[in-house]
Formats: sequence, C-alpha cells, structure tokens
Amino acid sequence: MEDSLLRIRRLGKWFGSLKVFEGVDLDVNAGEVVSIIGASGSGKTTLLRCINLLETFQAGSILLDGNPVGYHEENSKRKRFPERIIARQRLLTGMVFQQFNLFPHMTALGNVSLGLRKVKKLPRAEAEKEASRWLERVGLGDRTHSRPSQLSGGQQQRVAIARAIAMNPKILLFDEPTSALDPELVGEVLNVIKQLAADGATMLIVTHEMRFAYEVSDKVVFMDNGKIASMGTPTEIFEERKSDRLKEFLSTFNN
Amino acid sequence: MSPVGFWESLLAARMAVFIGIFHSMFAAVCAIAIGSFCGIVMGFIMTFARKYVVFPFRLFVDVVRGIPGLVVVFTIYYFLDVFLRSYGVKLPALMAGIIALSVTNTAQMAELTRGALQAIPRGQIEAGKAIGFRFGQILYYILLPQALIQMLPPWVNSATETVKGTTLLMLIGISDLLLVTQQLIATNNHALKYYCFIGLIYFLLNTVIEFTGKAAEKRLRFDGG
Repeated sequence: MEDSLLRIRRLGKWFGSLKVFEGVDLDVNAGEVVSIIGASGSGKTTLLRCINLLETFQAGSILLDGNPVGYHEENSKRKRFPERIIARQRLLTGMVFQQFNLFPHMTALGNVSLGLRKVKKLPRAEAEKEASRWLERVGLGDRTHSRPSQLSGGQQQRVAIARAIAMNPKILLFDEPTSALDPELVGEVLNVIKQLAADGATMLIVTHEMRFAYEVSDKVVFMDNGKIASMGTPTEIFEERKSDRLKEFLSTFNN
Repeated sequence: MSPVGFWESLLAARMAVFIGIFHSMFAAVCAIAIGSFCGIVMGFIMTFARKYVVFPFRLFVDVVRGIPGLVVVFTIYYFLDVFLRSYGVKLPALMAGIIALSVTNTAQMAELTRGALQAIPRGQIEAGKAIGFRFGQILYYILLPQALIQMLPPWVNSATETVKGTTLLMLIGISDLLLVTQQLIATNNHALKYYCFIGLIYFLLNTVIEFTGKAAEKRLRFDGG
C-alpha cells in the first residue's frame, strides 16, 4: 500500500472540556483533492488549523510525508515539538485563510516574496522573480505593486493563494476560501483553485461551495458533530447521500 | 522707554539663548529617542509576555502616567541625587532631567505600542506562522511595521508634549530656554516680548516635528486613504 502524504489518526481536540472533534482518521494522497463539508461548528475549520499547527490537539497524530508533526513520543510521553521545529514543520503545509490575512503594509509582490526571502533565504531578486511568476499564475501579473487595500477581495485571496503555494508546500490547506467574498468574486478564486488542482497540487479544502466540491474533489469528507460522518467520492456523497444526516445537511443547499 | 531695546538685549544675550535652546532640544531629542526605544520594547513585552512578567511593567506605566510630569522630574532628580551621592558621584542636572523626561516618555510610548499591537488582527500572526516564520520574525517583519505606522500620529503628539515638557527642567536648575529667558527678563522690562519670542521658538520646533510626522505618515500609510 502506498503511504499517504497526509495521514491523520484518532485525532482529538478539546477546548477545555468542550469537545471539538474526536477519533478523526483521514488520509490524503499526493495529487489528491479532498474537500471537507459540514455545518458550522462541526469542527472542520479546527481540523484544518490543527494540520497547520495553528491549533493544539490533545489526542492522536498527524503524519506528513511519514513524519509526525506537532507532537512526538518521548519516554512514552506525548510532547510538543519546540517552536523552532514547529515553524519548520508548518512549511510542509500552505494555508489559505478565510479572511485572506494579507500583510497590509506590503505590496502583492512583497506578500508573496517575504517567506521566500526570510524563510527560504532566497536573494531578493530571485525571490521577487519567483513571486511574480506565481502572481502571474493566479492572474495578477499586472497587480504586483498593488497594496492589499487597492485590490478586490477576490484579488486579495488570489494573492494569498500565491503566497501559500510559492513556499512550495506538500499540501495546500484552504479554510473556506470564498466565504468572505462577494458572490460575484467567488468564481475567480474557485477557478484558480481548480487550475491548481488540474496541475496536480495536493489540496485539502474546507468549503460551503457544494458544486465546487463536487467538481474539484477526488474525495469528499462530511463532518458532523465532531466526527467524520461520511467519506467517499463526490458521487457517493452528493448523489447517493447514504446517511440521513448527510441528506439533511445537503438539502439545505439548493444545488 | 527702557534704556536697552528688546532686539539689542536679545543680541547681547544670544549665546545664553542659544545654550538654552540647545539644552532644551538636546533633552527633548534624547528623551524622545530613549523613550521611543524603551517604550516600544516595553509595549511588546506587555502585549506578548506572561502575566507575571507584564505586571511590573503595567505598574510602572500606570504609576508614571498617573502622576504629573513635574513630580516625576523632582522625584527622579532627588532620588538619583541621594542615591548616587552615597557613592560619591554628583549627577549633572541635565542628565537627571533627560532621565526623568525619558521615563515619562517611555510610559507613554509603552501604552501607545500596546494599543497599536492589540489593534492588529490575530490573522496577521497566523499568516506569518503559515509561511514558516518564527515569533521573532513575525514581530520584526509583520507586527512592528504595522504598529509603527499606526502609532505615528500619537507618537508625534507625545514628541511635542516632550518638547513642551522640557520647560519643567528649569525647576531642577537646568538653564533651558525658559530659565535663560527668565534670567534675561529680570535684567530688563521686555517680559511680554521675550515670552512671545520663546513661545514662537517652541511653536516652530513643534511645527517641524508635526510636519515631519505628517510627511512620514503620508509616505507610509497603507490603508489606501
């Protein structure tokens, strides 16, 4: 059996005594696109943030490329890696946030090249060349010198995608990438993501765009009440709708 | 008519006036520089350190901000004087004055920095982490520049307050601009003209600061306004 790129086993997350999710198992293979759907509060965003180590988790393990991230066993005790190592492990994943989170004091080019310069230690000229290349890929070759405040929401999110992918992560994580966008700007962002998928990028996408999830995914995960309730191909999830909870959830969407 | 005209007396006393201006400006520039540096560092500590580390800084800021500048100047002057004298060192009054103004300025700047940092959305820190930054890099490349831009207008305010605050230093015997002027006035009867004259000088100094601040703000602002 081929080892998956991302392997999550028995993952559990609590905020104090409040359980967010428990017993989550998930595999993502290289080149695969996996979408996570589910109602608000079902734990899907938190799951994504755990993979990027922005959240702690209390049980289970996350393996990226075969290596545990976030925590490791030492003398049969569970220990968090030091921040220095956590920072390096985060480079295995790229994160695209719901609210874009671009750096407002930098141009689009600055946003994309910052990590290349300061983390990947590329010389400025080389980093900026690389950054421009990615900005062109997301259709913003002519806006490299614009500040985030001069860009539309859709353009900002595309810069954020370029910023994440420029770091050459093994897997791209999208946290509801179009939820903060005006409806007419959703399409341009989804098209960029589809293009990346077609080019073979490995992606894990939390989304409320059901049609998009149906079209782009190899696998769809339905989270409900802190658990993975169903998992399957888009056809299995969206057409066969095997469980009642899934039927109920999908019936709230018109498409 | 007085025996000596205003301009004549001013010309005769020009060296004393220059020294007064120099002392005032020197004290202000030192206090602004020291206060800005210490205050920014303190503001970062107060925002990101653990509670028990924050506590003494919080106390310092609240106490200093809660008492009049004049009291700070006197307290520090007499405290340092007594303390250092026990080691046989005589502290120059100007030094004590600069330290006192720096202390006030530090407290002010710490509070400004803390406010500016707290106004930065959490997502900025997360975005920094997501591109593999460590905490120091997030501070330096993401938070500090944004905080500084936010802080510029209130920083200009506090700098002009510091320039005005240098007038307190005459009370511990520093021949700042105000003390020099008062000594001149004692030798003639041009009081009103002299006060107008030094008022104009303070005003010009602060106008330069505000103008520089505005120019910097215009260059740096990123909100597209």
